[in-house]
Amino acid sequence: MNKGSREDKEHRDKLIETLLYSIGFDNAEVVCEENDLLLEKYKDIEVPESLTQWFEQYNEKLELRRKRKEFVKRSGRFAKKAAVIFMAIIIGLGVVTMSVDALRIRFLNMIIEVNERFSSVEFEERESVENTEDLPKDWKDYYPTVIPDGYTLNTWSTSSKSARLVYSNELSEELVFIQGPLTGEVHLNTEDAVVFEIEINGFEALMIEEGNRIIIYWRNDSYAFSLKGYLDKEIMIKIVKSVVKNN
Amino acid sequence: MLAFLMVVEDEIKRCKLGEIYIHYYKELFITAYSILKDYQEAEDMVQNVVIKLSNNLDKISEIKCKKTRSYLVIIIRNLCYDAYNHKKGIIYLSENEIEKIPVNMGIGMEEYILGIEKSEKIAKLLSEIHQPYADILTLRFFYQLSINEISELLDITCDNVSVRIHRALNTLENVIRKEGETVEQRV
Repeated sequence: MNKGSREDKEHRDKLIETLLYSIGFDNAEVVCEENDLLLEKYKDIEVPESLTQWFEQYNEKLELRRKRKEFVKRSGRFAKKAAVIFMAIIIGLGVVTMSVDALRIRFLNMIIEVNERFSSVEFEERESVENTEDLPKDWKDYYPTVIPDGYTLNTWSTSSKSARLVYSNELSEELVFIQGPLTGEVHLNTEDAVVFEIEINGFEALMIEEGNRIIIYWRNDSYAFSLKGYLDKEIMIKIVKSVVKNN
Repeated sequence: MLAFLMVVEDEIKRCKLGEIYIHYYKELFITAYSILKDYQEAEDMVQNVVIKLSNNLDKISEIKCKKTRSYLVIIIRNLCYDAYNHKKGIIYLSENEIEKIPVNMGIGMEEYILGIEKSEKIAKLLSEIHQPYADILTLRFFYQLSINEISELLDITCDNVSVRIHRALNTLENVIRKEGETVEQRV
């Protein structure tokens, strides 16, 4: 019974919908017929030119707005694609850099070098000390065990490539001891200087005399050293021979 | 004038709205003028319809057909009727009379529908209901527009659209009933 009633109602609704649609359809026909008569009646009427001019301007505005919208839409799409491509390139380059040994080492070396330079600067600024009488506690490099009276450790610095100890006396005369790895070449300025070849601990060495200043260059199996000072040659050689590694 | 229009026509025919305008602007203007009897007001009314159309272009699938033609004429003539009534101080429908639309029309209507054999009966119905009622029913049930869409097109509130549809359906039902009674008396 209920089902039948619902079906009846649906049927009735459909019929009414159809009737109303038909009325609309017929009304549309009637409107056209009526307007045919109207057009005939007012056939001589002149539409103001300003109407078409207005439409032209209005349509241009619409067209501009549409183009702007389209441009924004297209730009958005392009930007997304560009971002994806950029990310893909970055990821690709990263993968290539990390998977090829030569590139990876270069890349890491670059980072290490930069960091070393930075730490070197930082080290000198923060850890340099003045009037240090003894060696620094963490000094693990070579140092001269013989130091003439009146000289005290003034400043020191160290990095992966070199270590430096500077002693000075009351007259501010410095005694500079430098050590570094035995690599590359050393260019010496020997203009107006007297150069002597000497032997230090079984290795060839050079002693350069520039007026009052004496510079000695020598080496061992793995390190190169230099000592600069305003002392007698013999004392300088004694200091050089006293150099040992701190444990 | 003609040369100017021809140049403009070429320019604006490129888009859908332009094509609609070129095809119907004169008819729209004449329709508006026939009601308002004022050049300036008729021009304003055509502009109003064009602006409304530009926001509802998707409702028009084919430009040169009776369906589109009557759609445009129904919009402009109803806008003109409202403008005319407003000018004359006539209140066509008051919004405080709003009633819900009863779509469940009586059994009389169903019988009538079942008895329809020729389209003349519908034509007769149309001739007996007020033209704006026929138009609002056409927009709602033939063009399948929503209450909101009709409200935007005719510049009236949604409540007012509902009232008009309600009254149009009531009128239609009354006409059908009267016709049924006449037939019974003849029998």
